[in-house]
Amino acid sequence: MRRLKFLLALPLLFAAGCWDQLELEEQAFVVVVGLDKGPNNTVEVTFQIANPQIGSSDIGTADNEPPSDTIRFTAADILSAKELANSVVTRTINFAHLKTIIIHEGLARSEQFPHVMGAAVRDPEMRREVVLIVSREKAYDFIQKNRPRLETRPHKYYELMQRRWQETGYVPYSTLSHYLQSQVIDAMFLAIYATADEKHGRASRSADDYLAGEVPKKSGDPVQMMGAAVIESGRMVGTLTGQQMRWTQVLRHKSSVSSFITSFTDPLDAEAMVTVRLFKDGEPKIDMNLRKDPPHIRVSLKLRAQILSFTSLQPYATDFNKQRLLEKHLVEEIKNELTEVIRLSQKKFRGDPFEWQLIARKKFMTLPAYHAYNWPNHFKRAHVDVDVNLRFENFGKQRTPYIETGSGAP
Amino acid sequence: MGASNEAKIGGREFASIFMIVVGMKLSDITVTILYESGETAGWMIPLISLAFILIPYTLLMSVMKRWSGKGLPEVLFQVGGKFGGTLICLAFFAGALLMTAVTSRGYVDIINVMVYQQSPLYVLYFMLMGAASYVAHRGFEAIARISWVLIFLVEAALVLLVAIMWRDVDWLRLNPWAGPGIKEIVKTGFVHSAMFAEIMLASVFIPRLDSLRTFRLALRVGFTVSGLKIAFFMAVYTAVFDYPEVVHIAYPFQQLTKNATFGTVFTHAESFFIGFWLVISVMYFGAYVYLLAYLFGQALRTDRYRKLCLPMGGLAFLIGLIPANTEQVRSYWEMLIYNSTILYFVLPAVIWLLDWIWRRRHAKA
Amino acid sequence: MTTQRDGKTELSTLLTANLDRLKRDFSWPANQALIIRNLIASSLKRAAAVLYLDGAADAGEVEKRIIEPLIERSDAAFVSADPLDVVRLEIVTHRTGKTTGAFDEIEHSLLNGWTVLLIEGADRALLFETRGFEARQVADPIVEHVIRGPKEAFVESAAINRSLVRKYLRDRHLVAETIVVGDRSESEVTVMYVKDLANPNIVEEIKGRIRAIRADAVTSLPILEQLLDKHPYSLVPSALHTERPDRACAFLLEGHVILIMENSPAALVLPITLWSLVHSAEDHYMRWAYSNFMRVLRLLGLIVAVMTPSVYIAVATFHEEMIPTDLLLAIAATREKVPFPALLEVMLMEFAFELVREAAIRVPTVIGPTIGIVGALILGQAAVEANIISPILVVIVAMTGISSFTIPEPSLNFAVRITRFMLLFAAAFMGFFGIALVLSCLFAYLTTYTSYGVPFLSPLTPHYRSSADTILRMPLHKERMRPMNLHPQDSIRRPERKSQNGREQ
Repeated sequence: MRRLKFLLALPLLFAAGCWDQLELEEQAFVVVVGLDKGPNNTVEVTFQIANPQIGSSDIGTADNEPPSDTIRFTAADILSAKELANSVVTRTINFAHLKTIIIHEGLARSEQFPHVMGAAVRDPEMRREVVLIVSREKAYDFIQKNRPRLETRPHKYYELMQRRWQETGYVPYSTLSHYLQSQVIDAMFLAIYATADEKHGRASRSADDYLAGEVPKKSGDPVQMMGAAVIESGRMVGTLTGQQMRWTQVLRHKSSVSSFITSFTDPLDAEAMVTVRLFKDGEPKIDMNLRKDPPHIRVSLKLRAQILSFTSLQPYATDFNKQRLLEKHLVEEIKNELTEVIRLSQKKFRGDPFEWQLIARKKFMTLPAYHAYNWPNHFKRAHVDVDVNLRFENFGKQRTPYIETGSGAP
Repeated sequence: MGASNEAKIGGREFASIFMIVVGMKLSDITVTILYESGETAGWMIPLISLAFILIPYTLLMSVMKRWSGKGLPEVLFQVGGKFGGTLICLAFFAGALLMTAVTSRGYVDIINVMVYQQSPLYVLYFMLMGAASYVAHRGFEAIARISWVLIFLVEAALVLLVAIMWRDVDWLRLNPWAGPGIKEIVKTGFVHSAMFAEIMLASVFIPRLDSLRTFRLALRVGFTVSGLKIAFFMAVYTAVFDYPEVVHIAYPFQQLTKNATFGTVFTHAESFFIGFWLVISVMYFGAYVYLLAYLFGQALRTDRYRKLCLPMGGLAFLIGLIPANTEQVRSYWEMLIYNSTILYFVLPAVIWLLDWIWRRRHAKA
Repeated sequence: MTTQRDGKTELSTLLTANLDRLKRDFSWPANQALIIRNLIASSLKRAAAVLYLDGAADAGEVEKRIIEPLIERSDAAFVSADPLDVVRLEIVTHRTGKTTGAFDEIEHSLLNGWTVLLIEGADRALLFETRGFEARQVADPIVEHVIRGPKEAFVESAAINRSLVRKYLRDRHLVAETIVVGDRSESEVTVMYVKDLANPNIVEEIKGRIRAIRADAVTSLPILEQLLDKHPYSLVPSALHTERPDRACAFLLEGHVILIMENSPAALVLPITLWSLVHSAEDHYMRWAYSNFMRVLRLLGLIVAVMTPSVYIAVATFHEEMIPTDLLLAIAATREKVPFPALLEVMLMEFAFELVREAAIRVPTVIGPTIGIVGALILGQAAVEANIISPILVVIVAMTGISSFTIPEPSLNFAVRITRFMLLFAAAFMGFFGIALVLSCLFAYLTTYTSYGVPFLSPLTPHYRSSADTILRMPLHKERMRPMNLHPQDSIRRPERKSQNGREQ
């Protein structure tokens, strides 16, 4: 009985509160972090804190508060900025729901960048799956300008955009984890390229040959995410357009993009374009012959296509000759695009964005042998052959386009 | 018949104890240590270690077979006499004690770093060892029965984890498959075979089972499944994180769970898996504390070892507090495994020798 | 008192001496309860006296079957020599009749409603069983409702209860032994078991424990249960009360032992396992799919009832990354205006809910439904509007409360409620770590808890062969074995059915 009385007194212990205990409403949940270059090797860290009372049910709503609060601090690294922030913000800063980091291009190109990112990953609150986005302008401006009209809460934008990225393939899916991985194996890393600055819009017939900022649009939300920032040895060295990014995804042996819509010139009409939806019909077969010097790589790709629209209104669907012509033309175009991208990465970037080094690793028995080979060196000089096999699956729900001349039967 | 406190444990429960206890090694720093020497071929090492440890195990079994029904301490006292028996018993006890202390400290480190950053280490440690001592105090039946109840849930949770992470798995990352070279792999496997030392400590519990045959079958099943599980998960870690990054990650299992999401709604499901992991950790250390209490009790030739559970837990706790930080824990662990390998290869040979001498002496008489 | 435990005061042959002794013992004439009917047994031509206790014996039976035959004149010649035998075997038409020579036994029988017949010149008395205590009619069960299945429940009369059990289980091996407990007021405990099924060790242990009870008066089964309990401080019960005879018989058929006492509308089932507490009577009255559905639902209800508040507290205060961001912001928003920390909120709500529950049991049935509405609407809604608690908490507490109602057994219900609080404190202290530690200790405790020698979680663990009925059940024809954790003597319930061409079905 005495033991029981002692046990009954235990609950009093809990009233004292414990070390890791936090109350939800005393936390400030940071949904986006922005990084800019600061003076003297410091970093300017921007926190965007979500306001829970906007977008909640009637009981919790506060009418006059903004949906989020953005503040910026200059400190040596992200963690110190977090501590500094607690001098201003009434609640404890909490990274538990942080999913995105925006990095200014200037910082990404500087030597400081790999040091900042490497240091940040130790904190258990900073997750390895946070998405890295490189922005053309300062991260602070980007975050300020990113106020989507259709989303009430700031985190929703990034949450929904994640799925769009995987659907379209315009941007790579880049996380901190991949960044660190590619850094240690000396591979190329592609990060999402975005901007909220829409001054560079230019129109081109090819729908995806743009970089972030160049998409020809008027009004709507200011943020565009298109293309990739190429990062090597932890620093940014260049960009890829949206179209190039897509072809890069196609050449990878494992990518999340399974289909995308793109357009090519029409073989029978110089003014028109053909828009197709391309499917990867199985992963590309990549054969490497590393015994030769320079090494010989052969990529075989099988694609399916749904011909969705062609402004030339030619009877591709019904006329088999024209079909064959179209097929040959498309294969030619795709091969050119792919070869272009490969050449670009070989000559301009000197790195392999297609993760082909994983396939090269298969050819070696031990790690020391692989390291001795020095894949990046050999990739630069490799001779790459691309072989595309295209199959038309269907032509949409209209068999023939409307032809003006009333010459009778379609 | 009616169940009494010294009831026999079924083969099922016994096997599930080891499937859980040994399988836990996939979730702690053992894995990182193996990657350091094994590189991309790290996943092969548990299998090689298992193969190597079978040698002293078979030696030991050949002795135990002759004394069917007796457990390890009883046999030791028979062949070694009072002095030899006590000495060898204490040697095993010391090995197990250091293992428990270092391992439990490692686990508390994981909890401290990954989940509860601000709680003081010794509080977490104290609570963990307290619960483990209580479980041990309830007896070996408690440990056996909990394992049997939990085993399917645990395996299902692991399968679920792998299924969720399957998208990120890229088996090409396991190449080059020979890692640092075949000789290196074999050497590492040999040196780390103390990883499966429990296979010999398990012979302490032979009298608790129906027969030696059940014991051996259960042990075989338990250790094979665990070895395969550890190898598989090590392969998954490499496939998801890629070498050498996987060596830089402090705790790969916990990191893997951090990537797990249940659909797009429950994005950070790691606390769910950590919950399972914590329950099994308590059971794991409960088993160890019980073993320590039993071994010590047998070394002193007493039957009242249940009371020793709490002091043993406390002892492990105190020893475990000695290393100052997590990297020191790792180096102690590695050192301990190296030295334990020597211990667990030498001792069975000594036991076999003693048994041989005993048989010669008694055959003459 | 005059009644000594070991003294057998013998009757004398003088009727008046015996009567005087009895009158003195029962404080007659101050105590109007003792009724003495003096008569002359005409056939024997002797004086006799019929005694019984008012309220204890059935007066009508006494009149018709005992007094009337004695007074009736008859000239028949009697076969027996001894006058007692004559009365017992040839005159009295009552169905029972036994002789005794000890005052102890006479008084004990009187108290239990028997009728005593004293005859001049005989040094033994005749006892007739004319028990006539008032008891309820067999009615509907109050706690264990089923939709399909019999709706009879035990009542406060041990005889009727035994008769109900016999009605369901007509087996000549069904044994009903009686043991007397209590020093001052002796009550009878009937131990019923199936002789060729129940394990003799278990039966002996139970009977031994009953005999070892030293208490003033054991008036009903709940008191007996507590006196028999080996772990009185434990949260886990080691015996089960059931008010349904069909359930009692199901337990009998598995090899359990049941105890029946006067004044208790229930049977006590020993030994039990967790599964006995969780299964309901209805599980075997429905078809396979339906009853498994109910079982799964109940199992989930059990888990929700135990774990939900603690998981909420752990997640909301320690592991907020587990909550989806939208839900998290919604909870944070509603909690902003609430002044209390999360633990205090939960404690308040739980406390209020427990109060409502207790009130609902005690409140007169006329305004019973009102309490439910009052509790739900006013407490919940108004508390939320007054910003005392956040709305999600109402959902959590309500869900917990409702799922705890799915637990069919009241003892388990209480155990669950208390465990819920334990887990809640553990969660408030250390989040999932606390919950995990308490759960492991709980498992360790449960797996080694034994109820009369049977491990509490068997036949799941330690593993015994069983009738495939532990968590989910199989169709009836596949439930062929009895659970071996009770070590019954006959393990096969139903032999395999063979179809015509000899294949097993």
